[in-house]
Amino acid sequence: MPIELHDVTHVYMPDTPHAVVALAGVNLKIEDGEALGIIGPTGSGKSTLVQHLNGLLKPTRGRVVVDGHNLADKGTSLRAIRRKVGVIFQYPEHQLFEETVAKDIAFGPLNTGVNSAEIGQRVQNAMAMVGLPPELADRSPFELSGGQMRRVAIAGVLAMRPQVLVLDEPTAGLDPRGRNDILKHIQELHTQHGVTLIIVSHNMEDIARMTKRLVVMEGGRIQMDGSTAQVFAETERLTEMGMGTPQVVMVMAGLRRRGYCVRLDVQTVAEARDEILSCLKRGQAGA
Amino acid sequence: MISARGLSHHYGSGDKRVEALSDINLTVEAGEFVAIIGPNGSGKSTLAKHMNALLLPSEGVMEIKGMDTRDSTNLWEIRRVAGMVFQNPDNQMVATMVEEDVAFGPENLGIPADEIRRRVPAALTSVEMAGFERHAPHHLSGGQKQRVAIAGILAMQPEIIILDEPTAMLDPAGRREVLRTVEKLNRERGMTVVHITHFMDEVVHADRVLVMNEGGVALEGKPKDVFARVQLLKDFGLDVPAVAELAHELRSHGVHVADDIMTVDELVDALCP
Ligand SMILES: Nc1ncnc2c1ncn2[C@@H]1O[C@H](COP(=O)(O)OP(=O)(O)OP(=O)(O)O)[C@@H](O)[C@H]1O
Ligand SMILES: [Mg+2]
Repeated sequence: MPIELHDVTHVYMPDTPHAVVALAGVNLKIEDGEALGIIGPTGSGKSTLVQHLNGLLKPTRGRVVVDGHNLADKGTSLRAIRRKVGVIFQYPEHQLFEETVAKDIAFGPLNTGVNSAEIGQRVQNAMAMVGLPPELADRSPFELSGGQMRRVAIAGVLAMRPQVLVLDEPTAGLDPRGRNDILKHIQELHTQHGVTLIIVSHNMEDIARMTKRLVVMEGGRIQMDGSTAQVFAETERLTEMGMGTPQVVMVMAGLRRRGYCVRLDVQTVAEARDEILSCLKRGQAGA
Repeated sequence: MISARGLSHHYGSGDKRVEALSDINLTVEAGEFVAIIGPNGSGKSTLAKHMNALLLPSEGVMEIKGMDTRDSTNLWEIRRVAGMVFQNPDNQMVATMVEEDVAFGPENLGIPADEIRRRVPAALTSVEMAGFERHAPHHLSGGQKQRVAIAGILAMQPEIIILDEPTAMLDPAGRREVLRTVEKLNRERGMTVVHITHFMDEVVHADRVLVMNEGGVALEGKPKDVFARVQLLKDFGLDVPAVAELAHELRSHGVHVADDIMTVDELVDALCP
């Protein structure tokens, strides 16, 4: 189910002195099975954009089309769309409200008519995916650490088994292993089950690892759109926009400035290592 | 400045009892910059809340500048001496204008109004937010909001700042702003800093790192020494900064770089003699 944004503009508090243009004519087409990253400074419109993808916000101008259905059409069932497009918001702990962790995770699937026999299975499964030990199932979600709450919120969306998974800052507050494990499971949903991923993050390492295509937003507009490696290679432009690049790209840029002709389009520690090693072998470095 | 002896904390009771901290012994010296890392649920936030008496020990003692947190007559002085900044900037803003927000803490302490009027602009200047007095907090960027939150603490003239994942929600520029501010307060004013984070690259400039695991301090030392223990950290579910890992990888492939590299510049220098 491809998602298309046609000339989408969103104005908060329109017709008031406080009107804010959060999106200004955004055009974007996301195909089935893509892994798309969205980065940009605070206030650049990322979270606003994401909330259009399942109809939580309506464009002030322009059209959002999901799987051929214009979300603004009367005949389009937003409920059906939300079953397929799962969104994990920036502060997912605000989405928690049930008495126990298990009930909280079960809420979404119950609501979309999954039968109770299957629910237990889905809850267990989702808890395992986000690394929540089974003994937390009966705890109140409000008696958890920050990172544990976030895991519950993520599990709730995973339990819906959406076809498109939208994650707004998915790993904020997660410890490194939690981040790794959860991203690995999400990656598997993508590679093995063809789930489309749309990931908004300030964490460049996560973006580098999870996405193939990267969109950079600034001032409510899409400023760059290309393969993740190509976009990150533009270190100077990104730095000017207040964005970072992954540390390994910064190392490569530093080496380039010292006269080594290493590639900039590396994404992982392993790629950086191999590139530096082969550069050393080519005899370009003194060491 | 901060001293915990045999400190334990449990939440709830009976079969709902959760052991969050067990037998913590810890001292933080005046002017020290201590970073705390550790997996989710390891007790970092619980420990932080003991440092300004938001929680009281189930067992053992916590003293802030010699004041026992269990003695309720110390409460306001402890909260003044040790200020706390949390993760979500939006939950911390209480007023409709930046200057009111900064004044909130000192007002609570009963500081006279004309003194507050002197302190607010000074605090905003220290976090490089002078000129934003009359702005609405919810229109600020995440990094700016966190700096206003820090200003609110500075206006109480504290000696310790405790930051519980202050940068988790921020973009890279916001993270840099907040870190620079905190490091400056530590360096130039000798402010004692306790900084909890999951970003390993934010830890490299601390004087000391505490690694928490399952309610106890599992490892502590200078950042270089702690990050040299790549495998042990991985066993705890933690990580080392990407640069440290790259250096480690290069070294194990026979490239001669030192074993305590933690920053991009250090690695580039090491490779370009
Ligand atoms: N209000 C509460 N009631 C009951 N148990 C709690 C409460 N808050 C935290 N806990 C439990 O206490 C333990 C320590 O939690 P704490 O919040 O100190 O962890 P943390 O290290 O700050 O984790 P994180 O990295 O996720 O923020 C965890 O097992 C957690 O589930
Ligand atoms: Mg915490």
